[in-house]
Amino acid sequence: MLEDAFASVVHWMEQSWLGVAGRDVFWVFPAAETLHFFGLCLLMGAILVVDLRLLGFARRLPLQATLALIPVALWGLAINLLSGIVFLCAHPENYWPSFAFRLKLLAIVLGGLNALWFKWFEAPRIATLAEDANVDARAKLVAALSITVWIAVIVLGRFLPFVSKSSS
Amino acid sequence: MLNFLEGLSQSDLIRLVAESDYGYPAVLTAHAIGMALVVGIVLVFDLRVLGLAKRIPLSVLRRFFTVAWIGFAINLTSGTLLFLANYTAFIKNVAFITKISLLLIAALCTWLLARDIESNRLPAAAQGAIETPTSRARMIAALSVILWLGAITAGRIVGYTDVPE
Repeated sequence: MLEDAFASVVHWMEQSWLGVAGRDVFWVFPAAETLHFFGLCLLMGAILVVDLRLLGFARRLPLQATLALIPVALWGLAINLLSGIVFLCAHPENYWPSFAFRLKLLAIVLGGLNALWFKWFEAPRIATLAEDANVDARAKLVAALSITVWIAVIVLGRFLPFVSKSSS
Repeated sequence: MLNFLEGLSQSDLIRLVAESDYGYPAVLTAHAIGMALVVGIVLVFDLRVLGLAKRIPLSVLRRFFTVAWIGFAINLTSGTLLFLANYTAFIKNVAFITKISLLLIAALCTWLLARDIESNRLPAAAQGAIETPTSRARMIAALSVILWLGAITAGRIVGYTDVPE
């Protein structure tokens, strides 16, 4: 049932102008891949600085000022969601049936939920702390989870083309 | 020189990278993570110099170059493995040569910027005042963004030329 609903959405994406452009205009797919790497760097760069500071690295980095880098990570994520949709529309058969792709989607959802948890439950507590404060174990866990999940997303993404090739 | 490269490319390690099912994707994955560390940290630094998150002291943010260096070491290692696995194709690949050239100039920019920030460290920084980079530093930072992203673009084009993905 759910699988059928998804299949029709995937079919619609494949037939969309974006899918056609991704397949027929030679530079669209490589351009989306390049943007996907730019977004990856923005997302990971900002996340590394914020999360490593929360974990206790470079404690002289002012806590509240460091959180101002979060929008950079969100820009990176937005670039990658959009460029990722181009891949999916152009060649859904390479992604949708692939276990690595589904695992990657799951990891992205986990990363997003972890970020929302940070925004709703950790950021308000951190806002009351001094600039040179060491955050508590709970906030550190969220930071460690964030780094782990986003690195897992990179690993799954990089293995995806190889895994789906061998399974089809 | 070519004999030396040929000898290395026939070693067990390089054959494992080039021919085993997961050797090549594993090294590519390491290369992507290294890229995230190097370019990610450098971009954050450049954006701060260009005016983003002004309250972050550059003199402290510099400490994250340690992370970038770890990424650089990962990518020098993984990049060398990938190069040796198909060196005959890479050695005459224009996109690859462009990528390496851009990388070297980009690294030079980042080094210049780090040195610039160090020598222009404002005395007020210690009191928590905002550090304002010089216009020269801002220019190098802008150039650095373009060059690092250019290196990534050239690297992506390498994948579309006669080198196996």
